[in-house]
Amino acid sequence: MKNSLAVLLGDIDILQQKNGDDLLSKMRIEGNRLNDRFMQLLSIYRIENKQYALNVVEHSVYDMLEEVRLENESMLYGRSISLNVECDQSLLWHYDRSMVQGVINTLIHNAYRYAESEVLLRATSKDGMLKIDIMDDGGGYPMAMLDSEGGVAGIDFQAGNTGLGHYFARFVAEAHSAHGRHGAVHLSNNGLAHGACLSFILP
Amino acid sequence: MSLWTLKGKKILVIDDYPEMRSVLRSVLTPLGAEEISTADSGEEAIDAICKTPFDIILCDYNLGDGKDGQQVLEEIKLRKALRYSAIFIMVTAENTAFMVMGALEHQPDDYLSKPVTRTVLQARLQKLTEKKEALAELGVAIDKGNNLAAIKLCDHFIVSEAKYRGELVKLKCDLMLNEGLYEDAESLCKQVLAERDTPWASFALGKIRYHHQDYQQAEQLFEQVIQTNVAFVAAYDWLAKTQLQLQDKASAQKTLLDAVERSPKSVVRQRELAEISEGNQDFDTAERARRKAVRLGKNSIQARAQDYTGLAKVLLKNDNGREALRTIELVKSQFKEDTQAQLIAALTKSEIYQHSGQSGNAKQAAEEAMALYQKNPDCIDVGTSLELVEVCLGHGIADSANHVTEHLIANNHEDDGLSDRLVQIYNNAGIGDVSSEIIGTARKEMRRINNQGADLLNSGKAEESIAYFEQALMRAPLNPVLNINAAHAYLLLARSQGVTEDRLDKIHHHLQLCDCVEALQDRYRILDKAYQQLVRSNG
Repeated sequence: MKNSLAVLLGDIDILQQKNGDDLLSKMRIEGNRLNDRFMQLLSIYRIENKQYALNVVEHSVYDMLEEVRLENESMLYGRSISLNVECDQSLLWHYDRSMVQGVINTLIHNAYRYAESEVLLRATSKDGMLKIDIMDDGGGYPMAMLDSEGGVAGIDFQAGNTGLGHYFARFVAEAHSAHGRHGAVHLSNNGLAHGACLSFILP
Repeated sequence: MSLWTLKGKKILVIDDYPEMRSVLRSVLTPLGAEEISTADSGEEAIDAICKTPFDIILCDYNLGDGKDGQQVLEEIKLRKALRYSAIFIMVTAENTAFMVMGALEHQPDDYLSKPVTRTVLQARLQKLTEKKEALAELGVAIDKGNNLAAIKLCDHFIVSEAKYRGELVKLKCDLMLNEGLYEDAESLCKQVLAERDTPWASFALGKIRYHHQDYQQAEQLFEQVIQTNVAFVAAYDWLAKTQLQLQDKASAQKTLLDAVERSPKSVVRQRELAEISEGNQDFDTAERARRKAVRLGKNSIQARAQDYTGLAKVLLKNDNGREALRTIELVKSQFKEDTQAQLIAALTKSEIYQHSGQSGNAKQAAEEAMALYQKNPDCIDVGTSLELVEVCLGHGIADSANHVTEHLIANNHEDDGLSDRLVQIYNNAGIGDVSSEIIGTARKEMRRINNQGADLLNSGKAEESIAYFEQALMRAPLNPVLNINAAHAYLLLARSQGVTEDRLDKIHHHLQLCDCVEALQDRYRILDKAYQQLVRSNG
């Protein structure tokens, strides 16, 4: 199943390079989303079943965010939304790269849906915590979601939103711990032009 | 971005699915790659890598029935076929697959999860090329096996290339452990752990405690690593080793069974499990583990004759003499160059014949074993030599048995446990008095030789004593007392006439040959400490 999905996505990539069709681009995005979700479910399953532990190593946050930007940019031909990164190039942090990168990718896909013209990734560190803000310039979160402070709120099956992305983000953040502190996720409407801002925080 | 290209790079793509190979090819070609080779199995990949020095290797983790990606990596690292400058990327079908890998001793340069896109692959390859170029000097030192120089370079790059600090610190710790610099490694680990809980540092600390024979502490550390990181299989292996030292054989077997369940494809782990279960008289588990070790070892640098001979022995225990004999024949054909293996095969054959009442054939096999022993006595380990003594006595070939006994004593003249076991073997054969005489004479002779050298050493004649001990070691190269004295003599020489790489190597070499001898521990520790100080002062 994992391999089939990978082959399918690879083939779409090749087709897309041959002719930059809009439909293919959409297929690629949806396929990627499907893949992301599948991986998230697997990750949660495995961690909860104690089959795996996180692989926490020091990484360059800038390198990761740049890679995320490149990866997503190439998939967004034809949509006039820009994706920008603000991060000190020398910022290093300990975390599980594949998990965190997976989280950020998902959150970007979410942000794209609501953004008017820009999505911004901003990483800063303060008091021994790394904060990665994923911001857009859309209409912001509804009040009901803000109240639940990053919990699995807003499950709205009619709108096709099961909250898995946020759940996964919180799951990964909380799985990281150092010096007795755990990661966390905060939602606010402090994004671009009062748009949504999800703060992914790691110890 | 267009300036960067894979032109001129030798690339190997390893995947068992033809579709995936062509996807990767189509991702690489637009990046300028021209020389792309492919392999569809781990075995084929290992062959290819041993023949061609690739610059970039993209390896799928899951390769079907044969070896997996991790085994390919371990195999080529053990064969020293992977240069430091080469980039090895493991491609995994799921993000989580490498959570288990984060805890492995041999790690690739990077992991990529499918689907591999051109953008991500390019970004990663660019970063890795940058890193390998920045650390090129370190790579050269590592490839040459020059650990001391590599440690110095680590220190240098930790400052100048701070970006790679995390992995450089771990590398430095590994190099220190390889070089026997336990004190430095210990303070490094403690420093790392003070900053944050880091499994590899706790693990390394456990190994250091083990080395210092502080098994209780080591056990605690390994248990702690496993508790916070269930996938850290190497910690299970070391925990089992530690439990064995603590005489807790049942726990050791249980620990290894857990490890085997998590990661069944390691030959070494199956072998350890087999040996422990044999010690616990659990011959069912032992047979299963031996069979797996044999199967996994095929076409691998990890294959050992002892897996076959062990299987043959356990088969004999489980009353399957016929298959035991067939297994022995495999040893004969597959380990032609391995004298110890041939010898064990001959001994086991002798046992099998004896078991089935064919004493003529059994005696012939014993004589065969003795002839093998005489080819190179020093490549035969103590356990096998003892078995040889026993079998020879059983067939009334006392001269041969005595010869082996004398050599054993020459190499271990202060080992009371060994003498006791020999006496017991002779007692069982009904000629205990003969052994006391042979053993007594041999011990006395070695003591005389050693004392003479020690006198030279004590009167400060370092150079003369070195010549003397080197001469004595020709006769008994594994003798720990001679080795520790030789190490001591070289140490004095280095202090009085200057530290050279050659003298440091000699000290290290001789110390290694006596580091597991209980009775010499105190002296060993003092000399080892002095050695580590010399290494530091030289740096």
